[in-house]
Amino acid sequence: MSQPLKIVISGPVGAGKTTLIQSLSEIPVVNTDELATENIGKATTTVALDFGMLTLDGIPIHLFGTPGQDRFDFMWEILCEGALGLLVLVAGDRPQDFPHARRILEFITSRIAVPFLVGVTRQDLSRVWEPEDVAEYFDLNADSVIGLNATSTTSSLLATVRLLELVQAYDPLYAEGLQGKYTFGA
Amino acid sequence: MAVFGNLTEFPLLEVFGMLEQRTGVLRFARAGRYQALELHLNKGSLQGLLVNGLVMRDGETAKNILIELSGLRDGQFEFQRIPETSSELLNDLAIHVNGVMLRRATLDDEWNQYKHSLPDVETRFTLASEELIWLDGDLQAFWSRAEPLLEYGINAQVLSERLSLDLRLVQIYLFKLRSIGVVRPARRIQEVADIRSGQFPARGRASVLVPPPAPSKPTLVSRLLGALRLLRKPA
Repeated sequence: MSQPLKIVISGPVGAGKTTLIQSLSEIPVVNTDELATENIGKATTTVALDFGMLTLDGIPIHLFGTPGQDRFDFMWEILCEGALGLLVLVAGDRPQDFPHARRILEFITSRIAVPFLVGVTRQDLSRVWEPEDVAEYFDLNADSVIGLNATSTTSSLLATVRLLELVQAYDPLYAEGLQGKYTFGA
Repeated sequence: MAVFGNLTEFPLLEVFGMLEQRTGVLRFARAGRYQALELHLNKGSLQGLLVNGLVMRDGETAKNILIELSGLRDGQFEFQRIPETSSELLNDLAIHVNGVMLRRATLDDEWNQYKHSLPDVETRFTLASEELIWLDGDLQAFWSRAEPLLEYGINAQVLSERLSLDLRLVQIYLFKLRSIGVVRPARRIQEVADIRSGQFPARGRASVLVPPPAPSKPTLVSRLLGALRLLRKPA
């Protein structure tokens, strides 16, 4: 079997990380949800990671979701080392979460060389920020930000395609360079 | 009888208030990252400063040490009165202590105002603009010292240590400089690409990534993309 690659999905609490992994994964998602001990707007939250898997052309793609709360920030870097790509999600109807999402993106990408994409979720809602407006806020090129609905497999696949296109644009041989560096489950 | 105590019980603001009309040396032991500090005070004015036994003559650095000191919650202090005419009293500086304390209060206000928008202390920043931009007062003083360090990317934590500045002050300055387009968060992936093309450090807005030439046979990513596009078709 070919060596696995990994994609990391990060973002604030409630951005849709677990949902997106569930939409993409061909195995039941392993998660570490616990009851929230503070008011974060939902009953449970990811405390270590979510894990799912997608097989493409015989190559296992491991999908790791990071915890959304700052106190687990040590996990962000650990998970992103040797990753094929980083997808930072933010809920488009929750502009109050944008500074946190930007902080996560900048913390990781200023320290680790990983191709990245920002996904603006909940595009199925009527009152939601457009990806190009979020790109302005993040000070990113428009092609680094995509709108999606994490509950939809098609939409989640489209975001994955865009992420891989960015990886390809960065370095066509980027994935080859990662082979052997990431060996989890191999 | 000496005036002594710990910053745990006496905030620096109160200590200075108490000593405003007095002349003498206020000594601190193990305050923050300083083993020993000596503040030579004359009726509300800081006339001299010794940092770990070395005389500090730079006024801006002395002010920043006062700001840093006022944010500490631990550190032994003791005040020794000496006559105004004593040769023991240093006379290198003339800093109005209350003015610096007010600056500290402004910092606290700004911190509360911006704290939810501030980047992580470990996020690296770099230069974003080649244009000369007019800056005011403290921000200009910070910029002139920080600019050479920002060229290769540096985070607020390290910048604070290198410049002997309060960490929160550095975060606020970086936030302001970022808001006006003078600095931007560094992107490691961009830096790697710039190193690859021999253009690092590249000053200015993040440039478009230029990929190396595509190989003639299908790459791993192109295979993954092909498989993903096939997956999308049935959907």
